[in-house]
Amino acid sequence: MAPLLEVKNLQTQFKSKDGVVKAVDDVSFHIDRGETLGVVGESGSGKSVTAMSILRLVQHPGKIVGGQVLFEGRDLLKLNENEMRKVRGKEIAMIFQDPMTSLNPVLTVGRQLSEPLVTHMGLTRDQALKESVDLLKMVGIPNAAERIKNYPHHFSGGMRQRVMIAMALACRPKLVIADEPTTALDVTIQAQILELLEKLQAETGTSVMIITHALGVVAGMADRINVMYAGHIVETASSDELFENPRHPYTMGLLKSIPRLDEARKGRLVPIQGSPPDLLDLPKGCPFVSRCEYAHPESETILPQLRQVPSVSDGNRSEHWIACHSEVKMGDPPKRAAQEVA
Amino acid sequence: MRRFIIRRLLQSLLLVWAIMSLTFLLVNIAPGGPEVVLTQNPKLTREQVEAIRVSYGLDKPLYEQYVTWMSRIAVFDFGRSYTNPRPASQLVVERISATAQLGLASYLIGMLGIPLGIYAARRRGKLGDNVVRVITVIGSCMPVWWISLMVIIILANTVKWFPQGEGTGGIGPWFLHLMIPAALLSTGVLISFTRFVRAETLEVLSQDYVRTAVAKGLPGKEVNRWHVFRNSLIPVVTLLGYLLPALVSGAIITEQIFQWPGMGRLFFQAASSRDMPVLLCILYIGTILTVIGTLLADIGYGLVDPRVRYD
Ligand SMILES: Nc1ncnc2c1ncn2[C@@H]1O[C@H](COP(=O)(O)OP(=O)(O)OP(=O)(O)O)[C@@H](O)[C@H]1O
Ligand SMILES: [Mg+2]
Repeated sequence: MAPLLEVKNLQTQFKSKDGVVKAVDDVSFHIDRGETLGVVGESGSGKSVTAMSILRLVQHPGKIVGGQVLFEGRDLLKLNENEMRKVRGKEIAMIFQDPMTSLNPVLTVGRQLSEPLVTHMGLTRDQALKESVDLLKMVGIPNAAERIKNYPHHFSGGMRQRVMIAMALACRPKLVIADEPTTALDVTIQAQILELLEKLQAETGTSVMIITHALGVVAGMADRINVMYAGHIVETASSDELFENPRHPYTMGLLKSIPRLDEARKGRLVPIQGSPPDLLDLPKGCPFVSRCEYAHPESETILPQLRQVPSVSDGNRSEHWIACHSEVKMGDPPKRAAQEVA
Repeated sequence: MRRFIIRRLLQSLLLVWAIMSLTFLLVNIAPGGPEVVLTQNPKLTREQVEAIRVSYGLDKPLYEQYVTWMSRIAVFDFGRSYTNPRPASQLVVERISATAQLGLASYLIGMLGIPLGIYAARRRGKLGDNVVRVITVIGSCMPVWWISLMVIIILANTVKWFPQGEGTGGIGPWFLHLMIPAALLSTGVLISFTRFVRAETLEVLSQDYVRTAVAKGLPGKEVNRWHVFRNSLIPVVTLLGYLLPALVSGAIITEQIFQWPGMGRLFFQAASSRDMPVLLCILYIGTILTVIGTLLADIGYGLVDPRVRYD
C-alpha cells in the first residue's frame, strides 16, 4: 500500500541579502498509516522548515522551490489555497513548540477548540462547544465543561500543550505533526505530554511525525527515525536499528552525547565537536566533513547521497539508509581528530 | 469591575483637584498676579485699582482666595470674565457645541486611520503600503497650521472661497464649513492611528497564534478578524481615549485659523487679553476631558483584553 505521506526531493529556501539559505535541500521520506516518524537533528538543521513545508506554512522570505509532497497520492504543493485550507487541520494537523504563545490570548479555549470543528466538520457553534468539552476530557483536563470558558492565560504551560493536542486531534486528522511539543515544558511535564501523545495515537490510529533535537525523546515512541543535518537527511532507519547500529558518524555523535539506561556503556558522554556549518556557505562535499572523525577523502568534494546499508537489528526486514562515503560502525577508532571549526 | 471604576473615578477627582490647585498657584505667582490686565491701565488711581481688586475678591489672603475659588469651580463658577460683564462659565458653555461638532467630526475622520493602517500592514512592502507610509511621514512633518494655511491659500486662489466660521443656510454649507477644518484638525490623529495600527498589525501577524490559526485551516477572513485584528486593535482602544483631549488642544489653532466660533478660539482670545476666569474655565474642561479620556482608555482596555485584571 502506498504510504500516507511521501515527500520527494523537497527543497525549501530562504532568500536574504547575503545569499540563499538552503534550509531543506533535496529531502525525501515517507510516513505510513499509523506510523510514528521521529525527526532528529541539531538546531537549524531544517526540521521545522520541513514540517512547515508539508502544510505550506513557510512564510516570506522562505519559499518551497522544488519537490513534491504527496499526501494520499495528491501533491499538496499543487493545490490551490482553498484546497490546501481543507487539508490543514482536517487531514494534517500541527502541534507547535511553544504552548505559551501558540494560543490566541483573547479567545476562550472552547472557542479556539471549536473553530476547526465549525470550519471542517460543519458543526454549529453549540455542537462544537459540546465536542470541545469531550476533547478536553480526552487530553486529561479536569473540569472540562468549566474550563472551556477560560482563556489561555488561565492554563499552565503543560495544560496549554494538552489543549493544543486536543485542538490538533479535533477533526481526527490522518497525520499529526508535532514540532518539538515538549521542548518548552518542565521535564516532568514533558514525559506526561509524550505519554499522552502515545496513548492518543494508539487510540486514534493517526500517523505522527514528531520533531525533536533530543534523540532520547523519541527513542521509545518512534517506529522510524530520520536524522537531519544542515538541511539533509543523513540517516534513516527503524528506531531499534538506529540505536543498535548507527552508521552515520553524526548519528553516532548524537548517541554518544546522550545518557542511556539500557546499556552499560563504558566512557563518558561525549559532545559532538565544532558547530553546524553556515548554511549560507556550505562546503561542496559532505556538510558534516569538518566535524567528522571518520571523514573519507571524497567527503571534501562529493556530496554523499543516501544509500542503503544492511539492517542488522531485524535481519534486513526494515530499511536502513545513510548519506556517508565511509563504512564505519559505532566504536571504530577515529581516522582523524575532528577539525576545530574556527 | 465596578470597584475598579469607582476607585478610578476617585483617583480622577483627586487628579483634577491637584491640577487645578497647581494652576491656581501658577496663576498667582505670575508677575502682577491674575489681575494684571485690570490694573495696568496707567490712568487708574490707586483707589480705583483697589476697588477692582475688592470686586474680584483679589484683596483677600491667598489661602482664602484658594478656598473660595475651589468651592466655586466645584459648581462650575469661575466668576466674571475680565473683558465681558457676563460669567466666564457662561461664555465658555456657549462655545462648547461648536467645538464638540468640530472635535467629533475630526475624531471620526481620524478613525479612518484604523482601516488605513490595516490595509498598509496587509500590503506590507507593496505599493499601497509605501504610498501610505510616505504620506504619513510627510504629514507628520508638517504642522497643522501650515497645512491649514496652504489649504486656505489654494482654495482662495482656485475657487475664490474658503470656509470661515460656521456655515449658515442649510446642511450643505454647514457640512463644508465643518468638514474642511475637521479634516485638517484630524491629521494628527489620523496619522497616529494609521502608523500605530500598521505597526500593531504587523506585530500580530508574526505571532505564533496566527500561525496556529492558519494551520487549523481557518478561512482567511476568520484568521484576520479573530486572530489578527482582534489582537492588533487592543492597544488602539487605549489610543482612542488618550487622543480625546488632543482634539481640544489642537482646536485652539484650527479654530483661530478658520474663525470657528468654539472654545479654542475663545481660549486664544482670552489668552491674548489675559482673561483669567475664561482661561481657567477652558483649562478646567480640558483637564476633565483628559481625565475622562484616560479613564475610558483603561476601562476599554479591560473590556477587550481578558488578561487585564481589576485588582
Ligand atoms: N524566517 C526565516 N528567515 C531566514 N532563514 C530562516 C527562517 N526560518 C528558518 N530559516 C533557516 O532555516 C534553517 C532551518 O531552520 P529550522 O527552523 O527548520 O531549524 P530546526 O531544525 O527546526 O531547528 P530548531 O531545533 O532550532 O527548531 C535555519 O538554520 C535558518 O537558517
Ligand atoms: Mg524548529
